[in-house]
Amino acid sequence: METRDGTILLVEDNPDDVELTLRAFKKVGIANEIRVVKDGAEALDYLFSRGPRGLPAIALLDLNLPKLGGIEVLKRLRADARTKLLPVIILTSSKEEQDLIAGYGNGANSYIRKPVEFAQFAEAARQIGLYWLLLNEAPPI
Amino acid sequence: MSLKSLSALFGFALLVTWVCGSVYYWTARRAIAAGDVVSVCEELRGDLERATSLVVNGDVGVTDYIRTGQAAYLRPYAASLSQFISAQSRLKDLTRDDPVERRRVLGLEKEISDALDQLGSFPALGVPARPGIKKKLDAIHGAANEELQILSSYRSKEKLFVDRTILAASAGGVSAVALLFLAFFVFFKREISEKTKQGNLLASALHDLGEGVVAADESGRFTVFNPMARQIMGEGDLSDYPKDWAKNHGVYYPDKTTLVKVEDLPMVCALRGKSTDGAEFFIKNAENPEGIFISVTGRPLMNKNGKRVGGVVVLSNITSKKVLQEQMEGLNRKLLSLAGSLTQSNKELEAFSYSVAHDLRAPLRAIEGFSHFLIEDYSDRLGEQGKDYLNRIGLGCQRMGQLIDDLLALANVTRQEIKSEKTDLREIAKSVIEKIEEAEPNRRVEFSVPVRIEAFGDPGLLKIVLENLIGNAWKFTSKTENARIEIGSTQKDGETAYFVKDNGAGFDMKYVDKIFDPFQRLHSQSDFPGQGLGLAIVSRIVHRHGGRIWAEGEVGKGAALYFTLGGVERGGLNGNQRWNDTSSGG
Repeated sequence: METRDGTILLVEDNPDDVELTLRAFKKVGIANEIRVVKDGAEALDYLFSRGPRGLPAIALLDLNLPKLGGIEVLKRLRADARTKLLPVIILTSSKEEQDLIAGYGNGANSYIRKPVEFAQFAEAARQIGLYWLLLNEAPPI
Repeated sequence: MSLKSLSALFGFALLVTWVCGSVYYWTARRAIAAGDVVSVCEELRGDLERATSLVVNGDVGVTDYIRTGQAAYLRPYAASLSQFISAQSRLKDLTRDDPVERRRVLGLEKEISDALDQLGSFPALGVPARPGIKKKLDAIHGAANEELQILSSYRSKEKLFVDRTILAASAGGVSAVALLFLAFFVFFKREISEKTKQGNLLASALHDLGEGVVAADESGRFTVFNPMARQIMGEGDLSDYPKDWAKNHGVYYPDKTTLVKVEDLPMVCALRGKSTDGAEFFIKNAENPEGIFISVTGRPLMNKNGKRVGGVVVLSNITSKKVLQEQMEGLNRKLLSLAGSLTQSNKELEAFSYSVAHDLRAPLRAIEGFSHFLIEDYSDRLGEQGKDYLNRIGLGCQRMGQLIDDLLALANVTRQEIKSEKTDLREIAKSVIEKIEEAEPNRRVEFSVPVRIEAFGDPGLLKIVLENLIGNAWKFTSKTENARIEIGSTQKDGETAYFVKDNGAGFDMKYVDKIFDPFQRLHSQSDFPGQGLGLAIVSRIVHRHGGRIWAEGEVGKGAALYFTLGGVERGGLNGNQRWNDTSSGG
């Protein structure tokens, strides 16, 4: 069985959050390449321009994005055969009911709220890596 | 006069008429009979006179008979005698009913026949006896005269009686006719007064009626125009044409400016056989310079044969009702616009909450994260004080994060729809207690929870209530030895009140009104940390269930928080729930 290259796609427009996320993954020892895109349109361009083997292992998707919102990105990914099965983890500040419903409703695989405290953020990153990159069996290509 | 006495009067008149009729009948018969008697009497008298004269002259015939011996000389005498006898037998018949007269007639008859017998026996004797015969003839003559007298008196008596009877019968007839006249007069008078009475009643009802009544004949001429109708429509010209009615009486459509078209006027409709029910018009004329609103009901008028003979309309002044209605509509519009702006506010609040959730947390996360990195990466250059400051920055960020979460929870509680169901508070309390004990496993607190606490409410929101109340009790007993927290329910004023009691720090009842307000705290942050939002959230949830919340406490002895679930507990929809349903729909 062919495997993906193990890249993590981070869709995040806030540079502070980008820095925090990168540092959190680094701090817990996840060395996978993290590809950062700054808005929804860029995320779709990146994903749709790559072949099946070029897809990332997981996509970390913020909801509050410029140009194209996170939910809209999710909808398009799920509507396209190439990205239908891509594991998408929503990583956002909100835990509003409407966002949870929209996220899961449109096929998100997981929903994680960014904690204010960095120590907790790092813990979240560690568990994401452990679960999604090691424990979880990825969908076939 | 009552119907009974009127019937009696009619009956009496009929009786009198009947009596008169009978008397007439009887009298007429008797008069006819009397007429017979009189004519027989006349006949008899003639016969008798002839016979008498024959008898008087008899001696001539008899003498001739005797002289000649020829029986032919006796023939006229015999004929007149036989006539007399036949007349006398008729007289006997006629006087049959009068025994006295009959006796006299019979006596005379005997006397006369005796005389005649003697007379008849002359030829047989062959001896002329003139003086004897003469004497006999005189006796017959006398008896006949007497009989004639009797007859004449009988006749005059009979005539008198007939005259009197006719007089009595005529008087009876006249009085019967008079009585009938009286009865008829009384009857008609009674009919007329009855009609007048009804008419008066109708007129007085029409006069005092609070609604205008107008009737018109088929030509459109007004036949009824009661005072209220005048008050509404104005005097108007009774001779005006239907096409001028709207103009002359100031009848407008409810827009207050357009004169009503002639074919829309209820009276015109009624005259054309069409009914109108509760049509509304605006009236502005000399009587009503300010203008009034009326409601009109119109009906065609039919006679007994179903032929249309006119129309009637009833006019009600509905101005006050209309004004109220307009006020209500105004209020409704205001309410709708308020509801609209409320919906708008809610949307804004939602957007605000969302913005708070995302946008306030992101910088906090950055501040906390980067101060953390400073400590991690540059601790050797910061010194102890620098690290302490950065730690304080981190703690401040965490508190603020908590505060934001609490504010969001408060906002959510207001917005969230309540889904009430039968709920066991014991189960919720147990899970809350487990979580709290897990967070601080070193503390020993005695919990008292009954086997079952039934409630009717939104389980998710009730969990938030118990989290806060039990969390507070846990917090405020943190410095109490033998800490004890009791959860349960009791009856207060006919309602079930749920409570959470502790034996912790308690509070001064002076400030009891403040404890449910947001950000109000009765303890210092260092004694008991908190944001001051917990009880505000609880209070809001309780109120949204239609319940009440109150607190009892004493410094150093503990506190007890009570709440009810009012309207929701009784199972019906409550105002809050409906309000929320509409607001969340917008």
